[in-house]
Amino acid sequence: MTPKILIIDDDAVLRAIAMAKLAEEGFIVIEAEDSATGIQLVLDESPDLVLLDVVLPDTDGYQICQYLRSLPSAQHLPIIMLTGLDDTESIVQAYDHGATDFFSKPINWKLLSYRIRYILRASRTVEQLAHSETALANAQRLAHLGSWEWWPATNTTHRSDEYYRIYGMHRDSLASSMFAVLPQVHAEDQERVKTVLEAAMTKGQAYQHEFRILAPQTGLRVVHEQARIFRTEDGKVSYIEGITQDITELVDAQQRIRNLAYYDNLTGLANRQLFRELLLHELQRAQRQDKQCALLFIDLDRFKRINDTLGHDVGDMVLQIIGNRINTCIRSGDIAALHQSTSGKNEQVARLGGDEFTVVLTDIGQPEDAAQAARRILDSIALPIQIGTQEVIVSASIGIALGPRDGYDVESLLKNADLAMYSVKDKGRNNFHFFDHTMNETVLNKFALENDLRKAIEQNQLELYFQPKINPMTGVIVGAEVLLRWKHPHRGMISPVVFIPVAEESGFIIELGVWVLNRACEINRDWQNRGMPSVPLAINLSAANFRHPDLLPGIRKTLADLQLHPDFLVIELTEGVLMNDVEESIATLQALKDMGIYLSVDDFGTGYSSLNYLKRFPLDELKIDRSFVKDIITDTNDAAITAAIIGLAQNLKLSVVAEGVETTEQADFLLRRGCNTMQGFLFAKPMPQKEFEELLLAGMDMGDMQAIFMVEC
Amino acid sequence: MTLLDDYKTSVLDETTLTSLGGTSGLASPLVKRVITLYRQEAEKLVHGIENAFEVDDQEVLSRSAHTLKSSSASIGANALSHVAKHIEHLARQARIAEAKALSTVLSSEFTRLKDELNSLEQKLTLTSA
Repeated sequence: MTPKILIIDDDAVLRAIAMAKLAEEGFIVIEAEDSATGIQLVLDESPDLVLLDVVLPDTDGYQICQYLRSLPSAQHLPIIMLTGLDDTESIVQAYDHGATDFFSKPINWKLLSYRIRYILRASRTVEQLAHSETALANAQRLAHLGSWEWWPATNTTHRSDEYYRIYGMHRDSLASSMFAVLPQVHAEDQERVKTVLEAAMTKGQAYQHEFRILAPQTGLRVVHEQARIFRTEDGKVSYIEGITQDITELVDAQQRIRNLAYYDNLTGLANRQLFRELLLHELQRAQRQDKQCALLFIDLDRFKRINDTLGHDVGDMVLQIIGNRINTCIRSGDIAALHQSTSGKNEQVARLGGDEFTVVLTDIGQPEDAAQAARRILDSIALPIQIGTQEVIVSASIGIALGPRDGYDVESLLKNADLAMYSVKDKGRNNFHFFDHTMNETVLNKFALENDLRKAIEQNQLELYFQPKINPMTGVIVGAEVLLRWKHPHRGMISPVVFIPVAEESGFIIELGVWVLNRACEINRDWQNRGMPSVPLAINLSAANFRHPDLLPGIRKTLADLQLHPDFLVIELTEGVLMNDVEESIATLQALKDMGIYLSVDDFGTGYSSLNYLKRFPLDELKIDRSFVKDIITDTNDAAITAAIIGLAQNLKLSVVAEGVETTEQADFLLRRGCNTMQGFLFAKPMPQKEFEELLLAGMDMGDMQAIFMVEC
Repeated sequence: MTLLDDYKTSVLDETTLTSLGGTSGLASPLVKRVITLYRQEAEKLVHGIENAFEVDDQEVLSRSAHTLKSSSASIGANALSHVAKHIEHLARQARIAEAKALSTVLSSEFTRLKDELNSLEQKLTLTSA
């Protein structure tokens, strides 16, 4: 780029000559005859160098020089003052006012142009340095990182601008000593900081640590400081270099992450994880100190209704408000939590239906205190809640268990508070009850179970387990029976033996049955989508489901929606179900068969089926009940019956599956009689989806068994 | 007289103008322009000085003298430059009366210079023609 020279001189002749001669030398020249014009041109034209006369019409050149130097854009602008020959006075003045160089008149233009080039070259270097310094300062500012140098011998320092900014101090107000910042260090950290600095200074110990400071405007900040030691040849500490970084934001972020893991996003209350930890802590403390704590189970009455009628957004707001109200009713040492249902995958989904709050009252003097707290909470919850134009009223049932009296560990305490809460619901809700040992588990259990079972689907507490049906000769998995498992949030795994009857009594079994069937088909669809080996899944259908008018349209829709081939669905029905209304059964079975679904009779041999009817049912398979299989080796009757069933099946052209096979002898027996599909602990227990998928991919390992069978057959 | 005195008293040092002209020397169009410009400016400045003498204006006196010194030196009109320098010096020190005493020298030197410039120009026209 062609350098641009500005000449400020009121001598028109000189200017004319300058324009010509400097242009000859390859410069662009602009001129001004007084200071005002000159300054304007500096601002507008950004010349690379200025030639400035000492005397100007409106002022003297020195003032102009000084003024230009004060402009941020002209700080490093090279200014050559044109001084008089032998005029040392003006030369000194020029220097004092910040001129870069002087050149005396009369001007030797050739010489001047060389001088100009030398100066421009030097000034470029200065500019680059200024840029680096600015870039460095900016980087430090972004990182909130201040750098410093320390000379221990004199205990003097040089610090970057950012260092001062971190401490909120002006450069001039902080003494040079490294210890000068100590008064601003948090009282608890001062001793440590002092020790560390002294060690660095006297022993040359490099360091890295964090400490808190109090800065005037920004308050409490956390800083990270580290130092490097430089020694002389004889090992003495000559100089220490370090950085001090404000890491307050980083620390806050870590705190927030911790909070997320431990606190419910919606209400800000502790979540299940944290709550259990805190409860355990309190329980142990109460035991140690021979005191009491109280666990309150607060269940909002009919909350599902609010979600259903007003929507989940309103439901969420209600939860938030209730959470707040509960919080205000308890002391600061107490803990409140919102119990979200477990889903593991998606926290958003998990919030659905979460309407149970728990509170731990720490260190209560007497049970009365817990009762008072419960009363306060009930009253507070009962107050109307305003959501926009909507007024919502909720009530709650509160169960109270005292620890350690009502439970030595977290689980039993939770269970008993739960029971106490259910007794409130049983007796009309909107009240509180203490747990007492007379509370009838079975009665309350049923009530509670029914209640909880309804929520179980929504709250993802139900899971399908799979027990493979295999051919022992080949080890091939030919199908699997789908079983339902329920993981109750407080009570753990509840067996179907317990909850199915409850479901049947309440009629909820219908929804349950539909859910299981749909879910099994979804899983099958998913396997096929993923290109996994897929097998038919057998669902146990209850009588209620079998008889339900929606059965056929429902299945049709499911298969169609999922585009699942009926080959992959097997329906298992017990003899009892079929025999209930034979004609209807036949019709339904036929309809199912027409859809292409495989039909199996479960627990065969235990019902009242007359062989007469048996031949009329359009079936595909018989499953030999486990009660026969169990004793086929020891009991000749069972052996005979089993053999007969197998024979029957073969004659009716039905497949046969043996259930409950637990020993190789049993397997061997069955194989010899011609039954080659089996289910049982000998091969595999019912297992969760993931495990089953692994099995499907890996295939069954028949191991030793194959050897036995091979030899025999 | 020493060389230095010689320098100081030469009416018009042609080497200055020659070097100004570069390769074309005195024949350069720049030289012509500069001489014309100088004549205008110098006329104004000398008048300015004489006026300042009349009204005792120290400010204008010192500034004008300074500029005249500068311009004259630029073209090699050393004698006039020298006088102007004296005047500037005295004016800065507010010694107006003493400066005034140089008035006659100023005008005579100016006249001598103008004559020199005229003959130079004539010489140049003849050579180029």
